[in-house]
Amino acid sequence: MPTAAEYREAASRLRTMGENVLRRSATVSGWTLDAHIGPGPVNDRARQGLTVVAGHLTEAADALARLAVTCDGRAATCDRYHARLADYLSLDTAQRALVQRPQPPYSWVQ
Amino acid sequence: MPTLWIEPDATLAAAHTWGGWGDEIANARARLTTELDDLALPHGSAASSLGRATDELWAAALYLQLVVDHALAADEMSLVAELDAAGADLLYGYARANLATTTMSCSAFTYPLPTAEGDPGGTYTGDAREPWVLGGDAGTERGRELIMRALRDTASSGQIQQDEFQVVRMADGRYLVVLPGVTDLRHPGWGLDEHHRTVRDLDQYAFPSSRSADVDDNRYAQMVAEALAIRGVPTGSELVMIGHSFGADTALDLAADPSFNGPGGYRVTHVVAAAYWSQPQLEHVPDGTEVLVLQNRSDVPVIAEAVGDSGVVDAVDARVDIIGSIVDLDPIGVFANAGRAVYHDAEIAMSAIDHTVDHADDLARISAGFNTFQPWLLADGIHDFVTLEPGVSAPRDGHVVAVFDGGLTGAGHDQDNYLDYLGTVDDPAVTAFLTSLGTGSSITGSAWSIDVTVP
Repeated sequence: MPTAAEYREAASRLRTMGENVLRRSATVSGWTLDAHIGPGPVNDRARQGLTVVAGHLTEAADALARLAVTCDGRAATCDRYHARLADYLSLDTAQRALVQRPQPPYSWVQ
Repeated sequence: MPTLWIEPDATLAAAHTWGGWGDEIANARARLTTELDDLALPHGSAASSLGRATDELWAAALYLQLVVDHALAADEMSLVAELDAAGADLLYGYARANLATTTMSCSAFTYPLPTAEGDPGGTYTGDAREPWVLGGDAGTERGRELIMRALRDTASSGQIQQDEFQVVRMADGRYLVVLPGVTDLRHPGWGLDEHHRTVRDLDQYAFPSSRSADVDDNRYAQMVAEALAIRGVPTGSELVMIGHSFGADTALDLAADPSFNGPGGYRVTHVVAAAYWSQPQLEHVPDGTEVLVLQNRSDVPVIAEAVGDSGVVDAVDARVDIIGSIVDLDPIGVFANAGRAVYHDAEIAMSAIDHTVDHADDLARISAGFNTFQPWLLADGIHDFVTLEPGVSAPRDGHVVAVFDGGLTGAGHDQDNYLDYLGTVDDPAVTAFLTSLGTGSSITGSAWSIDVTVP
């Protein structure tokens, strides 16, 4: 399972990817064929296609941003678990007998 | 009608850029899915949105390519490229439907089909038809797909009507001339069809043409040559000619004509002649034109042509008898009738024709099969009589003759029998031809039907 640090690195990569995808979406949206194809249905159809592309890319960028937030959340969860585990491990044997050893709250927590 | 104004090179550059973006996003999507798997994260909508964006970008890029093909072909051949909103939608939809296509199946998208089976006028006019989008890597597989698409088109009255042939202007600058066969093989009747007066007529033009490798007695070939000139296909252009049946005869007649295939004419680089007894024509085709002859051993019209060429029977009479019996597409019945024709006429010619003497054993089997109602004995006898032995041969450099044991659909003559063979053939001589044909081939082409109604 990934560690908290790996989740943070992944969040960073996903955020960067999302930003790149959003920039590409803007480039696609702003692309014009007017210098190459005169106005009319052929140009319009290409424009429609690019609008659809830009829409999908914007959706992907949003989804990537959400994934980055999810990774941040997982990193925080991992941190909390490791903090509780460290507290537990700092106890002496007699004290440990009085409390339950912390268990990973989710399967992806290591 | 408004005119489409387009800068082809700049538009193609845009298409290239969009396609490159599609590639980039596809790579990003692949990296993302790997990362999400490693992180034990659900893929969510990010990967699917990137996938949809990729497909749409590739579709838009292919659409631009098809638009450019369409416009260039229309300009060069002085044809009217109707690209209104519906036409643009159709091209775009066709591009989208062909993204994942690595074969020539075009069933996912319906291009506007002509509503009639032809008409009695409009000689040498042209109509845009479903564009070509080839899959496979450039080389053997693209050459294979190119021939298969052409043969499929010869069987599609939606793509090529009864009174038409097809010209495809490939983006690589070559022209493909796709020549279907006669329209009345299954319903032979004397004279031209009154509805469309097509030159692709069995008794009026196909049989007379079969007597030689000359364009002079092939009206179909004459009209194809005239059509290409009138439609402005530039002389000096490289042509690939692919024909089925009478179309194969016509392709080789044109390739053998120095005024068509030579200085001042075109440069016919490749000919594919399917479903025709083409052997007598090959010696007339000049060096520099590669030829692939495809013959199904059970193709009755090929056998009928070969019987005629053997000198045993009068070609026209015997073949009319045989062809006339194909109506119900019963292969056994067809062989029986072929046997009757050979048997009957060969008896008359028995003492005079060397070929008959040389093949006396075969004739005996034909006779026995015919008289004792043993169709397979009959069929074997006919096969051997006309020496259609399965195998691949190269009568001279650049010429390949492939005779194969194919299916019996449509008395062995239907394109499906040939497509089955082409889809799997791996003989080195055949694949060398496919490689030569497919090397440098573009992915797309603009397809146009040209009317060959006899005025």
